[in-house]
Amino acid sequence: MMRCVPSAAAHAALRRIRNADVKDHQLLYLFLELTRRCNLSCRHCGSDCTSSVASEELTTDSWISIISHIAEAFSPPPFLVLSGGEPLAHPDLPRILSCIRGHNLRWGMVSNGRALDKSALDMLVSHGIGSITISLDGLEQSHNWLRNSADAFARAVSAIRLVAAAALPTWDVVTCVHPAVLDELDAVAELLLSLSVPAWRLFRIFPAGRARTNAALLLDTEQTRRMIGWVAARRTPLQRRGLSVNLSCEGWLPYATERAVRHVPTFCRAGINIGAILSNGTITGCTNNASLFHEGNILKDNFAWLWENRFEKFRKRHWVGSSSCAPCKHLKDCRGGSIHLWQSSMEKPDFCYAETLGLD
Amino acid sequence: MKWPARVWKKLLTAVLAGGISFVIAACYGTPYNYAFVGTWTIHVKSKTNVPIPGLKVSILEYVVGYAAPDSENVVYTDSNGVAFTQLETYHSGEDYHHAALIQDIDSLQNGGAFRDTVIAKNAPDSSTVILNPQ
Repeated sequence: MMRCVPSAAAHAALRRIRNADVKDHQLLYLFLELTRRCNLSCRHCGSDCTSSVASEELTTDSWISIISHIAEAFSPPPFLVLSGGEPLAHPDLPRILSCIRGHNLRWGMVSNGRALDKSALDMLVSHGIGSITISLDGLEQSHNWLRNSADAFARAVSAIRLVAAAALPTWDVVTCVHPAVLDELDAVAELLLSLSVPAWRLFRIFPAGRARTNAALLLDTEQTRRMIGWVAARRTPLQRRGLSVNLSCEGWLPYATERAVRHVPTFCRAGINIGAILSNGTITGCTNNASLFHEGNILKDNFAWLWENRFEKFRKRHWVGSSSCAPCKHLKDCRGGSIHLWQSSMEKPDFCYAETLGLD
Repeated sequence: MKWPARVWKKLLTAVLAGGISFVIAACYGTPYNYAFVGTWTIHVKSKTNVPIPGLKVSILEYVVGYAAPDSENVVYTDSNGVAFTQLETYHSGEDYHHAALIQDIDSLQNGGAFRDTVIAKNAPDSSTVILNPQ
């Protein structure tokens, strides 16, 4: 069907969808970055997480108040996504989950899988987990190198096996694609199929956190092209074998390329349908946004009020017209793409697929 | 008739995507179905009780009052003749139901040529279908 839709019409339709979503700005999805504490010290960590916490974090009581506020202020309430750091490293996780469960909220989690043993998974299931994402960044050597741990791969695969057996309603695996993984994508796909993984998302590591100072982790133009080409070529055959493969929502793509690598046309929903409360209370549109896009702090601001009345930089995007993107022919469709790619300034994005790859 | 925004947005997305799954998987988040309403496992066999792999199974969602389905999600039967899908909807609080269109798209590769068949989803979340030859 999509082959019959002219690109111009498709882009016009997508603009209409996006404009309607901006107008409604219904909060569908809320990140709760419970902690920056992590049981790994990955080379590419976009949040610069470590085993100890450098700055002050929200207390468990604060998180419980926040969850209660969200449950009361939003109808229907958003889906909560517990992230980090490593959410399983939060010492009071069961208490926080009991609060979420008590408000009958739907929730999910992103985990590196290291601490996800049978008892941890049973605890999550007993609190009604609806979705989980496990990180797997290549075959054993590549994954362990990136994750800076000799047994990270074994632990992640063990966690994937447990999740597969638990028959959760929704789950997937994500891979941060770095140069060493490019040649392994077929092998990783076979591994995931053998583990009964239903869905796989591929990320290009973007220059934030520790990845900002480690250029060896970032794909260059040719490597990015290879990654996109791989997804486009393998999506249908892998889908037919039971593995849904998608490029992550990292950046805007022209419709023809978008259709080849993503299941549903995507735009950055940060601040439109997606919000985030970081471990220090910062309120923003997504966990990876730079401080340029921080809207307030939960310790002094009312989240529901902020959501209704602020987030203009995410929704209106007038500032993109004053950036280096101004002369771009894709501007009215892209509108600056993903907010998290504007790490350094609001004058130029740190990465642009269309420009880098010369996509029309 | 003025359609609610969620209906026309869904229709537009269906046209653009060629099939629908309203899943948000934000950045480094976990996937979330806008309105997850359950699962459906469909077992497909021949009249001789042999599982049929490689069938295209289009999961259709209908809203009462509309003749055409307003979403479609495609899965395929595996080597055991089983197709599994998650069901989701934008129509929480409204009356909707799901059906599956089963099509044999690979000629004789899966052991025969079978007729297109439509089944409605009824509780429980598992259905068994016997396909007739063309």
